[in-house]
Amino acid sequence: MKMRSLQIGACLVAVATAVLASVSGASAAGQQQATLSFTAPASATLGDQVTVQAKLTSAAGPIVKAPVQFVVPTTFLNGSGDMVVARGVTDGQGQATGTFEARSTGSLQLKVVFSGNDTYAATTATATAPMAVSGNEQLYVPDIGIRLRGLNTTPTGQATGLAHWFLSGWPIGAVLTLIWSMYAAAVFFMSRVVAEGERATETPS
Amino acid sequence: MDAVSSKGMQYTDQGRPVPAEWREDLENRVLAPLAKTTWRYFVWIGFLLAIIALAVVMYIRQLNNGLIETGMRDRISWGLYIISFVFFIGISHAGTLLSAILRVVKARWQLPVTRMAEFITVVALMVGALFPLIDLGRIDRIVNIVQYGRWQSPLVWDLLAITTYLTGSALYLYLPLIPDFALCRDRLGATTSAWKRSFFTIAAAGWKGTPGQRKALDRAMTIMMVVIIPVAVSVHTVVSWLFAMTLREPFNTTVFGAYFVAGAIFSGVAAIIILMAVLRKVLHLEDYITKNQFMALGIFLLAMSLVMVYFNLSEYVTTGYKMEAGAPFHFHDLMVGYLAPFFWGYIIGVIAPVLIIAFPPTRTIKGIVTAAVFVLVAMWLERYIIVVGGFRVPLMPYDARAYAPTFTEWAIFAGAVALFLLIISVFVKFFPMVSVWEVVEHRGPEPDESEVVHHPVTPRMEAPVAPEVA
Repeated sequence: MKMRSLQIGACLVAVATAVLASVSGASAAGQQQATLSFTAPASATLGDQVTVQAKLTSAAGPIVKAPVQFVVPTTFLNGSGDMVVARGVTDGQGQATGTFEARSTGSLQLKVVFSGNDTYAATTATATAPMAVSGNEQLYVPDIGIRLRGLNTTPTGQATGLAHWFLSGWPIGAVLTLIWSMYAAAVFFMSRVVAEGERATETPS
Repeated sequence: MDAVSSKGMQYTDQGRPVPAEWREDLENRVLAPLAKTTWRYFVWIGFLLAIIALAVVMYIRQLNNGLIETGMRDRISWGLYIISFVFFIGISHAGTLLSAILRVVKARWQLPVTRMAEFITVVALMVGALFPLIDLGRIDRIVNIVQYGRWQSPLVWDLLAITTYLTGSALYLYLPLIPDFALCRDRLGATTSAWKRSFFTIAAAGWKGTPGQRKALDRAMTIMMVVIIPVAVSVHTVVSWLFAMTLREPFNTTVFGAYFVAGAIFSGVAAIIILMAVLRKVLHLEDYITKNQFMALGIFLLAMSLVMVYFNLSEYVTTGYKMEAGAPFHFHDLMVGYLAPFFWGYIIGVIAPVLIIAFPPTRTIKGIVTAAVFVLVAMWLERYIIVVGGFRVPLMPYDARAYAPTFTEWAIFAGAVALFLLIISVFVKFFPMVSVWEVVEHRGPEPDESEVVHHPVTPRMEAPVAPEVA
């Protein structure tokens, strides 16, 4: 009895899946086929700004104002996926341009992806050959963010030792000096309490 | 400064009478714990020391085996230690800040509890500052932050801010203690042990209450109460920057500085209320710490609850509206995902005080203490959400990892809480927990309920009086 119920349930699921598939197929059938072509340089040097181009067309001609993504297949630890390195939007001729910085050596298998829209179906194009990236430039920049003279850049005058240490962080040093000076003032007045007490002991009223 | 009438009656600086027997009773009550110790106290200290001993054993184990003893791994590399660090620094915030602000504006109602508030600051800072060291794994590497530290690093800012705040808070705690140490020296000198007598004599700094001494002490306190306010605000701002300057989705918000300061005051006030209730009961200070102090701090807690609700609303609405990068993952995690129990627990803990304190039937001492417990738990959960929630958002295409503190972490956390309570318990035996001289000179006996003037919100309209007819 239980087995029979399961079989009926499985049949119902299969029918529902088939109906859904036919509906989504009908929707996809309403979209026109799009074609992507892709141009990328054959080689680049590490740190170079690489410009890539894609052309998106359909049977009716160029597809304009369509967003495309330039991606590189990437793996990291136990994960993998397409990393977006540049984005572009097609112009009047259906051409989109993207620029990215080559940040790892080896061969990069670039792809361009059009995710599709209500009118055109999604499509992908892969570069005819991987782009070879060579070089050994150090891309790491130690000082990021804002640069304040004297705060995180070397001050002029080439002070050394403790003076350099202090000068290289003068704003923080100034604030700390102000606060600790006020502490010192409070300690000074505290010492006056002791002095006044001793004076009162020496000259009892 | 106190005034004594020709009949011997003392008056506060606001002209309120201070009966001699009331002052005598206040001094006796406040000094009683310094003079005698019961067996219960030693049992309590023994209990705390046992927990601390367990924590030390577990820490040595962590030192030997490394941070593999903890639940922290490469994906979630901040855990219970950093949560506890932010929590304790938060508690430390309200004490000195509250005391300083109220002294600056010459408020009087808080005087019986300022000492406790200042103690919480110093003790919580001492305990909180231990956690980054415990989190280091290799404690010897602490030298590196001094040797190789860079001004650009928020860790260096944090080290400087906490050191500065701890020094300032200790100084700010000590200054108003001087006249009370003199009181201990004069009242307990003959009855207490020789070493304790020496301690009181040295700590009293030769205080005799001369006009010159009062003037010098007043100046020192004025300087400290002014400087400690920005220092206190800066400390928790810098703690927030440890997160806000890290490139992680939930930390990418400009509101963190103000949010952390508000959260710190919120949890700090709750801690003061709880400690106040405990010490009031244990030290039998019911006549000096009355409903007035609980009501005032309760209303403040209520206001801070609303401020926290506002901050949360502001943060989640703006971030949730845009849903950039890792925000959808983080929101799912908070609302219905891995961190949902923590998040909703936090929300309940923030709203509960509003419901408890806003309505007169529950606006009692017990109600306010209950609200404070809710707040402390909520703020601990909030720190958990910030730290663990921030690290759970994947920066690369990998699965989010879970984090659960291990027994080692829980034992060390329990040890830190025990250390916090131990230091306060020991301090109670050396320092008067109420600033006697300030209460006598500026506050006097607490007004009864019947004496408290309740100003109506709108002026009452007097009925027109009919002119007398001759």
